[in-house]
Amino acid sequence: MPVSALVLTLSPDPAEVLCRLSSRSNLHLGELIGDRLPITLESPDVRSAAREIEALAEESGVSHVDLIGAYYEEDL
Amino acid sequence: MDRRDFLMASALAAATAAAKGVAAPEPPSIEGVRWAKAPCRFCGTGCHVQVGTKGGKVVAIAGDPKAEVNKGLLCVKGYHVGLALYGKDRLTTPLLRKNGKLTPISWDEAIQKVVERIQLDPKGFAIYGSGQWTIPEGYAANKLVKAALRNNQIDPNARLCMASAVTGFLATYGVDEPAGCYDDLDRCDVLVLWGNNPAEMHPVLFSRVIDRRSRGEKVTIIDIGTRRTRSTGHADHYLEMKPHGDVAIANGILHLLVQRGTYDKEFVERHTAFRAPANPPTLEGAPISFDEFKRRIAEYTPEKVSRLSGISEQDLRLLADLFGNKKLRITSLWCMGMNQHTLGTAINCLVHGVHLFSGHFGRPGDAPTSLTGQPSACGTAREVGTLCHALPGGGVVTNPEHRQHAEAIWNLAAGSVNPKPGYHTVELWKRFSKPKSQGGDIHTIWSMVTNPGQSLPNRNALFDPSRKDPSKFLIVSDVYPTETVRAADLVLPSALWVEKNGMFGNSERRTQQWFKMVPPPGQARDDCWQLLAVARALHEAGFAGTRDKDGQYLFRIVKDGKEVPVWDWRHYYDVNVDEQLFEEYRKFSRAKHKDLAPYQEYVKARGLRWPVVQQANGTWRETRFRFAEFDDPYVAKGKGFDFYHSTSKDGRAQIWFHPYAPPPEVPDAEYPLWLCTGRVLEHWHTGSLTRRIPQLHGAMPAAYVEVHPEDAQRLGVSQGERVVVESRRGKLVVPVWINGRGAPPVGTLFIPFFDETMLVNRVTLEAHDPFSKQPDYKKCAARLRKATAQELTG
Repeated sequence: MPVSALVLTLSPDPAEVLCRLSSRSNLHLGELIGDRLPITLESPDVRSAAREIEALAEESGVSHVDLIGAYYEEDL
Repeated sequence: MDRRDFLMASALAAATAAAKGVAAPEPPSIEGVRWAKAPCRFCGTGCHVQVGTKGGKVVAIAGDPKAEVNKGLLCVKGYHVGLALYGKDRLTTPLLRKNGKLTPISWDEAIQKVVERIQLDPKGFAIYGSGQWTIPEGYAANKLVKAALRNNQIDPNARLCMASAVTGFLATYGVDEPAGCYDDLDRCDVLVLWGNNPAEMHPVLFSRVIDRRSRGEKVTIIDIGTRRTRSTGHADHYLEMKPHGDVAIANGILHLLVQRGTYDKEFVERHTAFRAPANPPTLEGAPISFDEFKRRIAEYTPEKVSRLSGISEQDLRLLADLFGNKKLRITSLWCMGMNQHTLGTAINCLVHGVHLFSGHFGRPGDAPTSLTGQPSACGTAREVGTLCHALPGGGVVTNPEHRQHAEAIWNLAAGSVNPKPGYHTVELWKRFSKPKSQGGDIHTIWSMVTNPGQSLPNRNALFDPSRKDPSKFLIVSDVYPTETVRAADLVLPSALWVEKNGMFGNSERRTQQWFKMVPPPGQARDDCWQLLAVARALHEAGFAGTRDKDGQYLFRIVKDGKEVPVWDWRHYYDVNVDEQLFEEYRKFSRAKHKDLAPYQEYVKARGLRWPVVQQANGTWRETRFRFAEFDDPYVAKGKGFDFYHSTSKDGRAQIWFHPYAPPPEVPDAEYPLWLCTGRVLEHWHTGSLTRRIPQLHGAMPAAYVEVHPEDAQRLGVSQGERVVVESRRGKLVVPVWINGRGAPPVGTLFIPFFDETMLVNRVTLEAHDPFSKQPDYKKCAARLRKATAQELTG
């Protein structure tokens, strides 16, 4: 399963979006730093990773997504 | 902790460091994975990635925290760049068309076939490359054409991409490429986007500005465009203009600065001169007085500009207010919107002029900066000079001194370099498309690292005819079976990105280097080797042009005093060919103050911005801001600014007057809509790499036509319906997207060009700027109609 390292920039009052994100089993949330939230995303295959990242960008309460790394050895 | 938990922890640590804005730890230490640096293979931003390899494959990508460009961040394309190597249909063996079918042949046969085509008539043999050539590849190709074949028939697809930026810089400063750099994005108070969509096309750069906002800094974004994009969503002001309206807007700003007296009088008096078009037209134009400039600009009143451009007088005054305020720092960005324009040189000059006239120039944050679309459009096309009129280091073949300089470095007899430019891209492909009896004097084109079958405008006229003429021969070096490969007579399989050594030069004058990390598949080989193998085979066949004036082979590569037979693939990596070619090339770079450091300095760095000069202590120092005393080593203390390649020969930059003119083709009763073409976030250019990356293909699987809801209703077409979009040149069938990612105004369509199954360049026109020769892909007249049953199944 590919692993993606991401930083989400959250809108003001992030409590609700943090609650939603923390309930997802494929996301591991780091500590919120200002309005920036480091996370990792596990995807079932390389095909679905981009769709999931795109969906995160569209998520209410997420204003921006930065990508830091992709690890996909097992999927080649 | 198992291996997977360790990987997750490492990934989260990298993300946390990036979120804190501090240097991240090294890439995760994963068993058996080796990490090394490389610039991303895609756009001209020049992000550095850390490439993780294992077992001869790229298995991981991470943003490089040591890279100033991207500070550890990547966009969705960069993040998946490693997968570009692993499409299922990589080309792995040379192929020759026999009886209509591409058939495997050996490399020896393939190289001999290229040599045969050269020997048929060297004058009619051309190389067509791109800003995806590495610097050494481009240098080898340029030397082969300009020193050996001596016909100057070489041009890159960068002609389609940033040639107007080049002519704009040359006409304004006398030398190419931006004065500022990406640091301006960290310091500007106002960011003006001139027909530019960096949120999708240069997202890492755009995120530098968005990050500043998220930290509470105020950055005003002005988006001047013909359609709403993702960048518009972040803009404080969206100024929707008519096609070509930018020329009127820039003139309108200059008019108001004059009228209000808010231009920078001291800067203008000390550092600028005025120019206007000459008759007959030349790139240098004719000098005019400031009074004459004021007289000409006087007609661009807000009323007239509003009428020509479509923006309101109030919005024009807003722009003049901002540029008239010296307390602000203003950066302008542009890319294809201003460059793919039949007034491309004019609008580039005008935007430089707005910055110079208002004094928003030469301080960090105050800069007019063009962005490039390809990873080495600057490094290879512009700096190495792989254009048909250019020589390495900013020289031109029409200048006797530049030719002598090249002849000295190449050790050629005086008069060897041909003073006549070759054909620019549109003309080259026109000549290739015509029979010889009708002036079609180009019989063979060797296309490398580009896909003209999809990217040339008006494909039906510029690409298809030669494919029906048996006297014409198309050679294609590429990695995947593209539209161009499918039409080729000879196919040469190429190594890609970290399958070879390489160097790129990004949009901010930054030269970057990487080493080969994994082997290419099958028999795929480096483009640079292909060029050197052809040069050697020519040499062995007795071709006189491959010898210098002392009879030595032009491409002699020497190690420990002995010539290395690098034309033999088994010995190509016995020596670092890139280093040898680069060390020769960099001798050209000082003539125009584009000084490059020794190759080994780039091995240590995440790129260096030229001019890179050696300091008293022996270290090498890059230059962030050119022409300004505070940073440019070539500006003498006390001068403030010095435009040391000034076309007026007095250290001054040129502020141009260029009148508005309408586009060459405008909607009419028969073709009532504007058509604009462009790119999308997920795909890079013609999509030949990104459409083979499952994540990116899945996210954006096919092209579409963006249609305004009112137009859709009026034309009776619905969301997703496959319709015909056609012009006087051709047509395509494409699905409708209403309220899509971009939002064109009523009367305008937008189609991206990444999809080889829906070729919008059958519809575009090849009209081009008179100086840059860059075609206008952003505006032509088209119509949209329902497709017939035959068109839907055809």
